[in-house]
Amino acid sequence: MVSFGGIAGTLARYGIGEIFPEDRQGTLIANIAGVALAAALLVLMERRGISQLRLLLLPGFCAGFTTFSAVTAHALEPSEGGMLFLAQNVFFSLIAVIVVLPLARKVIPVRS
Amino acid sequence: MKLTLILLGAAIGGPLRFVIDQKIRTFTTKPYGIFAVNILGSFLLGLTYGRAEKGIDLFAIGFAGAFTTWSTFMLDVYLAYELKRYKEAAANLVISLGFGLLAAWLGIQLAQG
Repeated sequence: MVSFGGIAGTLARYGIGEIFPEDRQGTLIANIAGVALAAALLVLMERRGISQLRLLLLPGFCAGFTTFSAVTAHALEPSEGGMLFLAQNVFFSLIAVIVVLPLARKVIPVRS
Repeated sequence: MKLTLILLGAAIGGPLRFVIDQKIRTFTTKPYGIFAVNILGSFLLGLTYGRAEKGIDLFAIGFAGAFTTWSTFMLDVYLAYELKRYKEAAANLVISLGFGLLAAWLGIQLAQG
């Protein structure tokens, strides 16, 4: 399950990389989108308790879609703005969690 | 062919991260597993720096990409903050990025060496 999700996540990240050929841009977009999706799914899974699907989607798709290694490696590339790229990843990802998590908690009802 | 090798790496990297993280989370509530995975993966991706042609490098790129994770890292930081574990949130953020950069730098140096 985790493996399938990871392959799908990597494919999606690869696809984004094709649309945004600049490496840093593609990684940044995949990471922000992946964090937002993971935050929403986390709430959904918590409240619905879907366990098999959880493996496929969270540690599988979302974790494979987003990547840490590309952030650290691209940040060190000789081209300018490496540290800005790192800061953008952190800043926008945290904004995504701060916006999406409370929103998901509001929108997704608790089932008894 | 290029994509196949990347996906093959991802097929192994993703589950391996999951197994390591699950194992370590049985000992501690702190995200040491994800930390270790992200540092190792950063080093590995650094090693492929400047050479994405050979099969083994493509495999390593796919592996490192799926092995490391940004979404879990960011959620861990935020959830620690939400539980008012401010020190843990800040420490995870700073130490992960610091060591991640160091590990990637080491990898890049070795690759160029």
